[in-house]
Amino acid sequence: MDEWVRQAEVWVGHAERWIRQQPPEQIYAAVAVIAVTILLLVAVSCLKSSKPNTIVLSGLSGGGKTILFYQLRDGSSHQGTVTSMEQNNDTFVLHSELERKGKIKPVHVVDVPGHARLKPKLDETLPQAAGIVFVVDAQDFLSTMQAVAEYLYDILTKATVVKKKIPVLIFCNKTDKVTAHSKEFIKKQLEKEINKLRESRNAISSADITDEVKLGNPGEAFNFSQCQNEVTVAEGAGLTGNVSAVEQFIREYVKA
Amino acid sequence: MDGPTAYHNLRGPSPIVWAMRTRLAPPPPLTDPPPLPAVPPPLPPPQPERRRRGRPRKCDRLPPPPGFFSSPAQAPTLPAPRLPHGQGQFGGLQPHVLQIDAGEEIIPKITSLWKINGRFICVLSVHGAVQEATLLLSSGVTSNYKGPLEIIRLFGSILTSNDHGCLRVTLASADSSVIGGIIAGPLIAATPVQAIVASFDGDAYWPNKTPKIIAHYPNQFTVSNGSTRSSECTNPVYASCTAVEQNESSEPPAAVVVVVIVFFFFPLSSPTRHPRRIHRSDRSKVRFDMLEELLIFTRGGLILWSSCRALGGAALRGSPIDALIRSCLLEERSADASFSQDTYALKWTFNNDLGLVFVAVYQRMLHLLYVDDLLAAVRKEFSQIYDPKRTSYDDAFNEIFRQLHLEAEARTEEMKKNKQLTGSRPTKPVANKTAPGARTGSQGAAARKNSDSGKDDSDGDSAKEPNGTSKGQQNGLKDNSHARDVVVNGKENGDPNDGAFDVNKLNKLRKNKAGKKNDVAANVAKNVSKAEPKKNVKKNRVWDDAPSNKKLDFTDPADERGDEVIDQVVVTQGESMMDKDDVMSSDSEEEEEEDGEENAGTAQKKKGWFSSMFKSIAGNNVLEKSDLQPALRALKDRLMTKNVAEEIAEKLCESVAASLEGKKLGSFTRISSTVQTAMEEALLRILTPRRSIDILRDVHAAKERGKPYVVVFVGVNGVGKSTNLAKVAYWLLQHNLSVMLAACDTFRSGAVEQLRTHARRLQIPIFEKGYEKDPAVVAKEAIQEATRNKSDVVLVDTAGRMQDNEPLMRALSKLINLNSPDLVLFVGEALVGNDAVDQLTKFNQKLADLSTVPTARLIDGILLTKFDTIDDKVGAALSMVYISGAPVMFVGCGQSYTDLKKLNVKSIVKTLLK
Repeated sequence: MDEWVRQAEVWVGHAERWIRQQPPEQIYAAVAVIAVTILLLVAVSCLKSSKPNTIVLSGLSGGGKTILFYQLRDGSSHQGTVTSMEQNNDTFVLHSELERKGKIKPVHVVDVPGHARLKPKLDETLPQAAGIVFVVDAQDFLSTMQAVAEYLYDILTKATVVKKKIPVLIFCNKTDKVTAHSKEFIKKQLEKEINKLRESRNAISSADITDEVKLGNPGEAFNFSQCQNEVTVAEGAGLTGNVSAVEQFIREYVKA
Repeated sequence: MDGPTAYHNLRGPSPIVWAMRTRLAPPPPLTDPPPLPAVPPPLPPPQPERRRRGRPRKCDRLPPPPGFFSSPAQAPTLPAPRLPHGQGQFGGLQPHVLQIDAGEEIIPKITSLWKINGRFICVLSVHGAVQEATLLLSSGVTSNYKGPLEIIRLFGSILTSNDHGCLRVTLASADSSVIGGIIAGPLIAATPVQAIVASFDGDAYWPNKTPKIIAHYPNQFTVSNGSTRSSECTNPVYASCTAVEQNESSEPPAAVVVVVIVFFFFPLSSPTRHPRRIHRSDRSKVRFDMLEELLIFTRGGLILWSSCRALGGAALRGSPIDALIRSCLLEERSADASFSQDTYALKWTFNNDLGLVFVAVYQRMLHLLYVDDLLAAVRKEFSQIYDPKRTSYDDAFNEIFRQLHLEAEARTEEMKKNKQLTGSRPTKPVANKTAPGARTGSQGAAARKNSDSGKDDSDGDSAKEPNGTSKGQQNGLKDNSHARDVVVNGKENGDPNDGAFDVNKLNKLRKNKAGKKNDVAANVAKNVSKAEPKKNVKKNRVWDDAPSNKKLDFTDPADERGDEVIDQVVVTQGESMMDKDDVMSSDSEEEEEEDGEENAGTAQKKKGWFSSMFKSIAGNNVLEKSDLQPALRALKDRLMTKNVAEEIAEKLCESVAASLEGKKLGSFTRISSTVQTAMEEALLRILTPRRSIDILRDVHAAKERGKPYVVVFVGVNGVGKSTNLAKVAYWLLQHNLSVMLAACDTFRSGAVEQLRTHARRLQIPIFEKGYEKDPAVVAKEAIQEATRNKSDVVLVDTAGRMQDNEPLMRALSKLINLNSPDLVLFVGEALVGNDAVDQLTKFNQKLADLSTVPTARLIDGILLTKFDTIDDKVGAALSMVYISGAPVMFVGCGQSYTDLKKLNVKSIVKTLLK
């Protein structure tokens, strides 16, 4: 042990002598370079860990996610859409903000296909999400209600969503149609359905469902305010470009 | 005892109605269009009535195909006497009379009805006056009208599943002018308004089953009003509606007569021959009717270009494209040749590198020959102008498409001429294959060589070069530049389209050259006579030329044409020596080709590993079929060792190949790993259930309706139906549900006792009637009993049966259709290999074929038993799910009651690819 200490002292002495031999400017420069590098690294990691700017558009197939995506990006629904097979994602400044002066932070929007077979894709995008827009077809709501509730339940119980408290906006689409349901109605029905789901899902035993989080307060009828993350309901119509609710939501969680 | 009757009414027509229906008109078959002649032509209603009936016909071309229009028999004119009939056909068409007071809004009243009972709605008649109306006019303008307006008629229907509730109204104003349009805002009653509205069940709604009415209407419209149409296109939903509306309002009275005549004429003429007749007489009009639509969209779902929108033409009824994506492309069936939805047939091709999908839609009965050609050509041209940032290609692509379409059509025309020349009808693939050969104008042998080489998928261009003619080379070069594009429909007629197209184009220029036609004729004849030997050759090469082999499997055009091939062969059997000669030559040619391939391979090797290394680092390596082949074969073998049925493994690999071909390989990635990830994704997608498998919730929902939830267990002998039924019962009991067993295995001795033992151990009631009873009746009584004593779930055990045993399958079909259970659970053992495919297909097929009602129940879910015995050979799960599309709901994995699990999709995928 003593031997090692002596050895170390010798080395330290050597190093000291060597440093004294160097011109001081060189040493200062070296120190400066190292300091700047470290600072840069810290800054980069800070930026990275700072607020994510991804908004995930989710919901069942046929709800109007892709239309919404293009409304946000280009302010037009182009020539219509068909069922998506892959996700659309792009980083852009919202179309409605193009005219605004000054530098605006672009948003990364991901439109996840809603087909049931492609549900696993959602898991890949959720960890980076700053907010989730859950698109509901307000016109065809009654017939798809159960599936919608189930999908929403899946999202709300995802561990990442609960842990990071990712806000969810339930966007009732297609309200330009005469037969569309109101957002209050949809909210109430979804809460009711989720309440039912809570019972049946918690009951699943010996299932390999992972990261299951209990939703709401037990023994109490479920409503969205019980969620740890913020869940809001809004309405609009992607086809006619009435998507201000979504834009507002995005800007609330991805600061310009 | 009112339980059963109420039950019956809800589920289907009562026996009396049923009997009436069969007397009035036979129940429409599943696949055929439902008979229009619900109205026999010689009905006596006055002319205006007919006109009204004729009108909605045009609306059939709208995206919302309202059930209301699909059968004019339900027209408002004769509701009372026809009601029983209507009920039978429409799953309980119920009339409702709504009284709307002055000052109230009319539409919410009507829609509220739909919200109350959740059934589809059609408006039969409304009379009264309105004080305010907001209408979307044919010009695309929305305008508001005030003042007392008399309702002339208000009709339309609200279909929840289709998201177009399209109600239209025609109003008479005080100065006796008529306004009509789509209701786009409040419609407020001025006087008390009486509305007669009918609601009908969702399952009675058959979209698009009516035959197409008349071909040239939409074209007339686009010709006359093309300019306005383009302005409306900004609102895609309303555009189509307004289009028809406009047609209606601008129509001269003479058109009414046309409508009536057509309407009466149509039921008499066979729908299959109708369009062809038009085709003969007036080609220019029919042009866009033959090809309904050609659509280009990204994999993300954005429509980039559509022939309907750009060039005019009617919108498709229903949404066949969405159906294609959902039930074909996303189900890993994209290697199929074509897809049919209702009256449409669809073909598609991908450009994987750019992520584009090209879909052509046409009437199924038309057997368009040029679609493959056209798709390949469109893909080629469009890929050149595609730019990811651009979203509208109307200006740039319209003209190109018109050109391509004309060319493709000219080619088919020419093919027909060739056909006439030879005095026979060469089959489509043969004709196609001849085309390149004939066009190069070289000698017969060379031409044959060319046509044969075209048959081979990947190296069509490399083999073309030895042809020697300058034209051939030119084509080869042209092809080369686009070799990365993939034609998925390769199955039906190989890949020669790509080549054929260019050669054809060139040839058209040289159309007038003399001596040509004889040449062609000779070639065709030779090729025809060669048809049989070719088939023999293919049988030997199952592993790689399966596409052309499978051609015969498809019911679409290929099928009948395949038969024709055989006919041809019989006709030309006299030349058998020639044939043999050809066999030899074609055989040797194939060998040559393979040699050529190898040569190319060695040539590549000569280029050295450095360049290939560089390529892989640069990551600009375009994947070609030949690159994928070894990796896919290895993968297929691996899947098969995991007990995946061979057929399924093959199909999956093809589908993965189709999705990868033409893609650029990333830097530092190997082909095998790329294929592996693609396959992993595909498997994950297949095994992820399409519908909810949360039985408990469904049980609770049924409980709220006050009915028991009925599960029928079906399967072959000895797979463990009763055992797993007991496990499911135990699982349900654990969740505080009351369960009842129904012993409907009245065939195997000891079956009832076995179930009784389970029931005793689980302390649950069992419904049994001994042996030799009709199981369908036993099940029915069991369900009645359960309703009476308020059981939540009824588990019906059935006798095991082999899928080929028709009497037993018929009995099963009866049981299922009589009792309409909530869940038909197929019990299959995980040990099964290739037979899984057979079992499930046959069960599903028999259930559909042998059912007496038009909407047959199929298998809803799968219970996989003996899962603990198979170690890592989990392939049966994949086979079963792929073939039936039904999810695995439970997995039985042991001997005790608790050994029931859910399928862990991720671990299965991992095991399959291990």
